[in-house]
Amino acid sequence: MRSGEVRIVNRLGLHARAAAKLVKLTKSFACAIELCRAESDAAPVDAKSIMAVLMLEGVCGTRLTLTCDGADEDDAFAAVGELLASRFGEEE
Amino acid sequence: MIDFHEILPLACVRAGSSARSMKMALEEATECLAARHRHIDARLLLEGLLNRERLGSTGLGDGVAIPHCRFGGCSKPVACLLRTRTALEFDAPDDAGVDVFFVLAVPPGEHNAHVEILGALARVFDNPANLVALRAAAGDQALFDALHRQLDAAQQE
Repeated sequence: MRSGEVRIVNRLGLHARAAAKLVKLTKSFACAIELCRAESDAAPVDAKSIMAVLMLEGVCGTRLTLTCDGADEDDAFAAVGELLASRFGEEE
Repeated sequence: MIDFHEILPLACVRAGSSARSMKMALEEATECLAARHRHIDARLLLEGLLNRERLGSTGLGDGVAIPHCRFGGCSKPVACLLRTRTALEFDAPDDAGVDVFFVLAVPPGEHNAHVEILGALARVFDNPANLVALRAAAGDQALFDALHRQLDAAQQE
């Protein structure tokens, strides 16, 4: 299992199109992928569900705990981290 | 906490839309919003919503869609809730037809409110019992009451 903190850094935050991009990416991996707001008591949510990802209300600056569990967990962890760091391809 | 009563007044809830296509549904919603908010140009808002759909469907699955866009023509977030008599083709992720449309326009600078509104809507629409209640509501007032009750509960979670 790989687990660590990631951060929403695009100015628009985790809006619907960004969430859709994230879900498209997570669905391409076999491992289970979960997200939860860092330092929160809330249960982690399935990062392969668009509804669940929107429910995180990830505004810019939100810190999230990313957990990947399965055969391709290392690749998944790196890819999700990269997508967030690249601001989902947005300019700012 | 988002004040959804401010965003979605009773005048912008339509429980019996006879729209037969996605475009007709969005036309009805934008005309309704323009009638309620004088500064909104229905044609421009429709264009914004259609452009946004071209980037990827706002269908969430389970017959629900949240067509939305950032719109310079409004100074605060505004919404229209449309329930169509028949489910419409909307390119939703589960390929199911859509009959519940929460149409939303958000001023361009309000990034955090935008994400928070989408989050509250996702919490409501993720609950199957809520969808049953929204589809069972008889008339505009009942639909308005049902959704606002659900939004209030979702925001208190």
